[in-house]
Parts: sequence; C-alpha cells; structure tokens
Amino acid sequence: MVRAVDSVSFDVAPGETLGLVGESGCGKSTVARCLVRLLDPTGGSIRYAGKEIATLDPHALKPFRRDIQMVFQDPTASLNPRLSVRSMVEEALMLHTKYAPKERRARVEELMHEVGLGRDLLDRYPHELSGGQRQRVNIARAIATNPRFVVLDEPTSALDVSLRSRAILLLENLREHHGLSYLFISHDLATVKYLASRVAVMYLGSIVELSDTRDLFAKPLHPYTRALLAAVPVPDPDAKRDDFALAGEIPSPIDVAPGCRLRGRCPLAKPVCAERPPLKEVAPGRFVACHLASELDA
Amino acid sequence: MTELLNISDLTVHFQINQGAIEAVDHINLTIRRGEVLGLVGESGSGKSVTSFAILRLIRPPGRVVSGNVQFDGVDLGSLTEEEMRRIRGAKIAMVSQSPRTALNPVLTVGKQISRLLMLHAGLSAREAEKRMLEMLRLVRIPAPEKRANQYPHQLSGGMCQRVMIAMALATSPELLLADEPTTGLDVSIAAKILDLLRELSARTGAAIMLVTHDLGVVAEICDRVAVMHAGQVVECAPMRELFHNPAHPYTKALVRSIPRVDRDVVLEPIPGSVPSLVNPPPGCRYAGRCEWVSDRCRVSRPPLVEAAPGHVVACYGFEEHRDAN
Repeated sequence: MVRAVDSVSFDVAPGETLGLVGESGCGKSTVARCLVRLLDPTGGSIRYAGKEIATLDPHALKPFRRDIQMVFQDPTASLNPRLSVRSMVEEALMLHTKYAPKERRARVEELMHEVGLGRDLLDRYPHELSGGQRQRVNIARAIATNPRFVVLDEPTSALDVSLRSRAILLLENLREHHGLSYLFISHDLATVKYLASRVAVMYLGSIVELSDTRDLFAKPLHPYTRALLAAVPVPDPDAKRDDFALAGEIPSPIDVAPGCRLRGRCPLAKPVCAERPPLKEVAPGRFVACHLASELDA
Repeated sequence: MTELLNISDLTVHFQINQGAIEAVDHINLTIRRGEVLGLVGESGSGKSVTSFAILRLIRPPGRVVSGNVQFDGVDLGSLTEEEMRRIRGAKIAMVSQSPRTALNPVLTVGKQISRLLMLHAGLSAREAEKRMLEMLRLVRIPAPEKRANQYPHQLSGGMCQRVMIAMALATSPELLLADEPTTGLDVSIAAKILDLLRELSARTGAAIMLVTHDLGVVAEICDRVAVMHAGQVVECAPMRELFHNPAHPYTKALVRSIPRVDRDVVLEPIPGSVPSLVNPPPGCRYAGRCEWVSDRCRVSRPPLVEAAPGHVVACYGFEEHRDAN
C-alpha cells in the first residue's frame, strides 16, 4: 500500500501564502488534489472557514468549489484545446454565477486585463498562445469566481526564466489586490522563498518541517530541509555553500519502514531515530519532525 | 588550453511561409579542451539550434546559411555524411533535456549502451557488455547488473539522465553537448548530475558545452559563459568575470529577473519579450527591450568588442553604463 500522504496537518490563514515544497513523489500534489476534492482522502479532516469539506457530497460541495480554486502545473494540458480563451474563462462564470450574458462578457474582459492579457487574445485557441499566455488564462479561470483560496500546483515550473518572474509578480499582485490565500506548491525553492510567508517541507508523505519562510531559509532545522537547500545551485560563484548531503535516493513510498523516514539516508541518524519523530513545536510557530532538532539548533 | 571547437560566423535559418526565422545569426564561439562552457539565454535564443548545428543535425526547413564549425582542426562541413556519423556519438556526444524520450523505449538500457560500444568502439558483444557495466558504475547507478536489464520506463528521471550520460561518455568523447541536462529533475538529483558531469569531465578531459537557462547551474560548474539573445551571442566571459562585471544590459537583466535562495531580492522581469526572428530589423536585437537604447542601436548591429581581457560584449552603450547595475 502506498501512503502517499500520511498524517499531514497544516493551516492557511486568510491572505497568507503557504509554500509546500518537496521532491517528486513526496505527496505535495496529492495534498493539493485532496484540498480541492479531486481526490477523496482516506482519513482526516479538511476545514474551510470552519466547515468540514472532506466528506461533503458533490452537491453540497458546489458553493465551496467557487471559493476554492486550483491552477495546475501544465498550462497546456489544463486547457481545452477546442475552446477559445473567451469560452474557457466564461465557463467558470456560467457554472458559478448568475451573471447575465452581457455582465459575463464584461467580467471576462476585466479578468483578461487583470492577468495582463490583451482583449485581442479572447478569440484565440490554446495552440495559438505561448506557454506564459496559457498559464495566464489558467490563472484568469481560477480567479474568475472571486475565490478566497487558490491552490497553485507548480504554476511557474513550465515557464521560461523571464516569464517565470512575471508570473510570480502577477500572483503576488492578485493576492494583495483580492486578499487571496494561496497554497503554493513547488520544488523551486527560490520562488517559494519569494512568495510564501510560511513553508511546509514534505518528505515521503509527511511534513518534516513547518516554519516562517525567513527562519527556514536562514537556518533549516530538519536534516532533509538542510540537504534540500544545500542542493540548490546559487547564481553566485563566491557563495559559501553548505555541503550537507543525504546518502542515496528517495526510497519507494510502498511500505515505508518504521522509524524516521529519513533514517538510512541521514548522516546524523542515532539509535533514537528508530522511533518515528512527531512534528514538534521547537520555537514559536516552528515545527520540526526530528529527534535531534534541539541539538541541531545549537 | 588549446581550442577544441571553433564556430565562426554560423547562421542558421528556418524557412516558413512568412519568411526565414533567423534562429542563429552570425555567431562565433570557441570551446577549449577540457573546459565547461555555459551557453545561457531564454527559450528561443538559439542555444539548442547551435548544438544541433555543431552536430550537423539541422534538417529542412532548417538550413545552415553561413559559417563553419572546426572540430579538432577539421572543418565538419567538409566531411561526408559517413565521416560525420563517426564523429557523432564518438567524438562529440550529446545529452539532451528529456532523457526519457531520448532513450529507446523498447530496448533495455544495457543493450542501448552495448550497441553503441559495438558500433563506435568496435567491441565484441561480450567486451561491450563488460564496458557497459563499468559505465553504469561510473555514473553511480546502484545495482548496475539489475538496472542494465530494465527498460527506460522502469527508471526514474534522474536514473535515465545517468544512463544518457553513461551513453554519451561510453566512447570517451572529446566534447559533450549537454542541453539542459538537469531541467525537470529534482534539486538533489540535479545537484548529483552536475557533480557527476564536472567530475567526469575532469577525469576524462572532455570539454562540455552546457546549454542552460539556469544561472545557478552556470555558477556551479562553468569555466566560461556565452550569453545568447535572439540568435546572437551578446556577451562571453570567464564565469566569475561575468557574475562580477556583467557588461551587456541583457545579462544584467537576466541576473535581476530570478528569485534566489541566497538573498532577498526585488524581482525585475526582463522588459518585453524575445523579438520575432522572422525578418528581424537591422541593428541590435535587444534594442526593443533595452533601457540604454540609442538611435545607433536601431540601425546597426553592435560588434563584439573586448570589455576586459577574455571578456567580449556586443553593445554600443556598455562603456557609458559600465558602473550601472
């Protein structure tokens, strides 16, 4: 059995961006899919504005679908190749609002303006757009219904350098302007550092560290976080580098061994690591799942 | 270090209905023996086309309009197709961005490497298999005997990239063209692939041309860097010099446009977008995006001039803005 996500808990405050990072297969996209109920969690609870939504039936879920939206990683695969930009953005409004056709058209144009796309693109089809433009259409669709919470699953990964920085600024701008909350999922740590106020780090289905962004990047406490940060290439030839690295590669998530999930790869492992460490608060707002966290802090 | 590869005045066009896409425009580049040269720029700047042109793999509607590529003193353009085939894969090898699609899905990875060794190094089946296992060990694939019998879909992306590197290095090439070898890989895997490339190049003396858009990767392993914009080389310098004293406004903009883990930055996207390369106007191709632009930039193309020893830049305004960041 694969426990893709195992006992993950976190919260996102109104107006906040929570970053969720980790490598392929760590369960970050599974978490995202559960939040928007594209997947039904095996257990646990998901509360939105105090209301339980993990177990709602599709009908009862509908008002929440308007409030909780998602932008997917692949900007091409997530658009319908046979619909024009106008019909795709309008679709969300037809489903979730009672706008008259004229109001809808006005709203579509307003959304295009908000995401920085010209009105001339409205009658184009996805194949006529660049990757950056496609991702903007996806963002326009996601914010069309005035959601409160948007799950962003690697929204900038498929974009080229210059487009990426623009997409980052657009997302930040929209969040400020509309008071949105984001769950920003990425393996690109630099982008997470720029956008998120807090960061959760996942490894093999569990959160191993959850912390204020500044503290996490200044001093990662969990050995996995530390190794992850040390592996990011820095565009500065004189940067002092931490050469901390883990042994081997991410093991299969099938039948994970008992104890700390990092045991076997962690150079700091001790006998106590045979027991699974809980996610403990080691400083206000700072959670680490490592028996050695207090020693690492020194 | 002596010159291994010399590209002079290379121009590549792709013919489409609306005209010719001038994908690579009169570029000059040199790669020295044993060095790692980074080729950086946005999508569409001509980085990959340049590597295909080196291997003479430009196919219609693409066409090499001018220029020549000298490899080890030989003009590659003068070789017959048969002679060129013996250079590809043997003396100049390539590692591409998507290892999974570059590998043959219906052959085990071991077979793919052995075949290459039989073809290019003339080894017997048995010798080839032995050498193949050595190569898998060299790129640190755990349990190589088991992995050799598996198909690409059974391996992770990082594993596939290691197999690609093993294939590329199997015949001890003198030049390795690595096209975005770490893009799409997880950070820790990417770091290991970079370490591996650097180590193998040091061990075998192979030069590497590393195509990337990631300046972090450049700082990590390159000796020199060439920056491309819209099919032209706009700046070329030793790696440290490029980071410390970037001269071209595009290079500076590129550095400012990326979020970083090592410091807090204010993101400034590069203004505008890569211009259309179909019948581009004369003059500097960065003019439409440049904050320093003057009338002269719009009418004539700035030549590459020396900004410092070993550091060339193609910009009319760089002297005037030398101290600006």
